[in-house]
Amino acid sequence: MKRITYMILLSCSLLLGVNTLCLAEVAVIMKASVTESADINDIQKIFLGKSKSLPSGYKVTPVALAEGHPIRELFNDKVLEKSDSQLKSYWAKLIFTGKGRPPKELPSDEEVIAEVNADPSVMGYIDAQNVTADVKVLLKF
Amino acid sequence: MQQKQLSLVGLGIVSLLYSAAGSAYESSDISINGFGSIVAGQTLDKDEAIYGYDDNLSFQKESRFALQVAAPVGEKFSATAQIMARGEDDFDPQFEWAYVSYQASENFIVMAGRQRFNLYKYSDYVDVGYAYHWIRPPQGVYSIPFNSGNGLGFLYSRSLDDMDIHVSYKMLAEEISDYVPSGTSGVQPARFNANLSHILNFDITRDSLNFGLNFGLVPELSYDASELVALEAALAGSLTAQEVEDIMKEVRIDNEEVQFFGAYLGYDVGDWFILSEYTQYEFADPNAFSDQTSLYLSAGIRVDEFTFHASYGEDENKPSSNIDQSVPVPALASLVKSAITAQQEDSKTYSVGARWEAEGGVALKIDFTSFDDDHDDSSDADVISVGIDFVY
Repeated sequence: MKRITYMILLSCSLLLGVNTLCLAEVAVIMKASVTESADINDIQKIFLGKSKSLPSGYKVTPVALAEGHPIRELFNDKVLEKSDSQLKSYWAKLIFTGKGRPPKELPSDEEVIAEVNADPSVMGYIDAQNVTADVKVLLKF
Repeated sequence: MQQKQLSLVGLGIVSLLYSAAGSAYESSDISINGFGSIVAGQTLDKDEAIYGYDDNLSFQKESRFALQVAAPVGEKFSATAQIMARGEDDFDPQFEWAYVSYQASENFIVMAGRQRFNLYKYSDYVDVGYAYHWIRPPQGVYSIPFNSGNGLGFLYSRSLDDMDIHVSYKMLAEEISDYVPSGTSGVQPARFNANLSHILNFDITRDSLNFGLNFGLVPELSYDASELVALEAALAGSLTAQEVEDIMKEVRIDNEEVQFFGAYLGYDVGDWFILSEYTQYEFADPNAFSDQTSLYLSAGIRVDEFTFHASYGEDENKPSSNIDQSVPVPALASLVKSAITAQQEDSKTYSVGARWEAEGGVALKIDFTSFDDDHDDSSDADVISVGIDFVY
């Protein structure tokens, strides 16, 4: 994960900020009608399966972007603070002992938005550039 | 018979999975995951044997493949089956887990069926090589006869502000397996039977710190070693039936009560980690098995996609019986002594290794382990192994 961060920094400095990744921001979203708020700690717990609701008691189902998606890498690095292999080890331990399941994965921002729109309990994350009026941004990273 | 029962439980779960697949649920609700390890190892000297390896390179002893299928059954229930094929069993597939779980509340899960348990820190996922840094966790602690059984499990987990708490209690009715006792060599596997085990685990993680306690109680443990039957026959040749019985009741492994205890402490900041675990088990009454105390310390650093680590382990097996001192005939006393000291061991294990994250879900590992037994120099061995672990 560090390597990815270095690569991003390197490509930023080489391309003087033209590369979209170095401008990229992750937006954590829920349906626009949701009035809940969440901090990084709450979001981390939801996406690591440690908690199934926000501190207010509001039930949340996380949805992730599929492996290989650059925004997923950013989210894992900045919010979950885990490398890809650390995250895989973490989930392997839970999956194969019956203690938990990783979030459902979707291939694109559009599909995450559609899922968020369809269900007020769904929390997802997308490229901040692709945020629409249908969704509420809880936090940007 | 036991195998048949297991297969029936497994088949039941599989048919549940099928019916879930065939009913209103879409196939996307069914998850299929798997893991595996291919490990090749050999000892460095022709007289040495350890962990099933000798000086001939083997790819089979520790290699294994597992496939897990899980499907929701209704709103709060789900059915899971995990099938594993191990090289040491000639890749004959067996159900390791086959259970129905019930999500009673956000924090509480009840599991019924075949499952593994946390006798020690890594016990319930000891085969998932990808989930830890070693090729194999320290064997002084983890070479135990049973990791799974059929029964009930209660899992509670709670995430507070900056602390994650897990408590599990498992009650397993019966577990039968073929077992070669740790600390012995050249012994044929025999039938091992543990009745109604209770296992309680507490695990707390706070930031980089992880701490846990394990308690286990097996009220009835039996082991049908053919060597002990032969010993009884030899004693009967020159002693009275009463004398034989007085000796054998402190040798036979028949419905023995054994208590397990474990504690572990780990500190992991990402760039480096340190981990230690202490475990012990003790029998209530004397028998041919030894009481055991084990300890290991492991530390490592992570540099980009590499982990470099070193571990040290200490294991002591003390005979639980000293009945040989009461055997009147010296020749017979030495036979009895060899039976009750078969597991005796006072060893130190040193290992160094590296792990490389080859790509998503695949890790390559190398390990060198040196085993040194103060009690029995003939079991000293150095073993080198390389492995690939994967999860999907």
